[in-house]
Amino acid sequence: MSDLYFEDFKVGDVFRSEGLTITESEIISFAMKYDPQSFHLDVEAARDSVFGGLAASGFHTLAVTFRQILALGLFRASNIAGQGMDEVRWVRPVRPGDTLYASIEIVEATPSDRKPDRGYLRIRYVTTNHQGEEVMTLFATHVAKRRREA
Amino acid sequence: MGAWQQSGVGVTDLYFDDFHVGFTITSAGMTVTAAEILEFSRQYAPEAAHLDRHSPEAIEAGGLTAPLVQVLATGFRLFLETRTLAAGGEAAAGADECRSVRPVLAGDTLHSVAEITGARLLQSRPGMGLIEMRLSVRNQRDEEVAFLRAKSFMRRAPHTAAVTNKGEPG
Repeated sequence: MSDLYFEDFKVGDVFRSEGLTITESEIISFAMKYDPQSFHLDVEAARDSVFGGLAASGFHTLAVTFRQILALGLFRASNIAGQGMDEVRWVRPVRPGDTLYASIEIVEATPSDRKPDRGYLRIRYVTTNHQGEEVMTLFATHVAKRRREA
Repeated sequence: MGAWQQSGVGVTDLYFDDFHVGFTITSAGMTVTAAEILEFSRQYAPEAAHLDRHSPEAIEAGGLTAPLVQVLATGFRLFLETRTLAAGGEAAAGADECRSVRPVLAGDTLHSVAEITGARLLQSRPGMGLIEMRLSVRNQRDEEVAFLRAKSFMRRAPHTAAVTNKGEPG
């Protein structure tokens, strides 16, 4: 992909990732390190939990989603910083064997007033499973370099 | 307060009624190693700032930096270990605001401070309340490195669960 800068992103642009299948062992090993709650760790205990079965940590779904979007290389040239996320919603549990697809949509593109070398891209992330159901949504703001003026 | 002491439940078995706005819970500390940053980043955030200490990004930051999701997840794990949610908590449905504040470098020791910012009973779900909290992840100099705001469902103590939701605290 050619190098993309702030100006190359337009409101309404949508980019979609490849699929990535989440295994039971990945769910459990992530949870052991970062989110050791029984419904992320223990198949038997998870059956009796609110999830009704083993479910991935929300942080795991976040990490996988960012990995999938990163792999598209969209921000390779323009990346200055990410500021964080808003309105993260874990809509449905992610189960062992689910194949996840991440997509992003540019919802705002605002040049910086104070710093002429950059702009802010407001991005809506949607992660879906292989049945087309949303599992996670969020907004993030990405600080992107502008093209150098000739 | 006192109800759980009388019933002989451990002080870490907390239910909705034990929380009030301003209540804070401070976790133990945990050092983030370069190996952990590399392991996480190879799998989830393969960028130079997290993988290559000779990259311009890492040199500018003063070393390998941890990805935000790893920092937040580490802070959350430390919070879980306080067992604040162990008795009454249910899985969170989201996080309203997640921010990176300062870089986390390999060797930093993180702890988390959870502050309760809201607590209300749910009319729609008797026996259940909703607590709002701000989870601050902090380094060994007690500087905030990241934070998140989240809401969590929290059960009322078993002996109050049958009582109707009136006389809301706060």
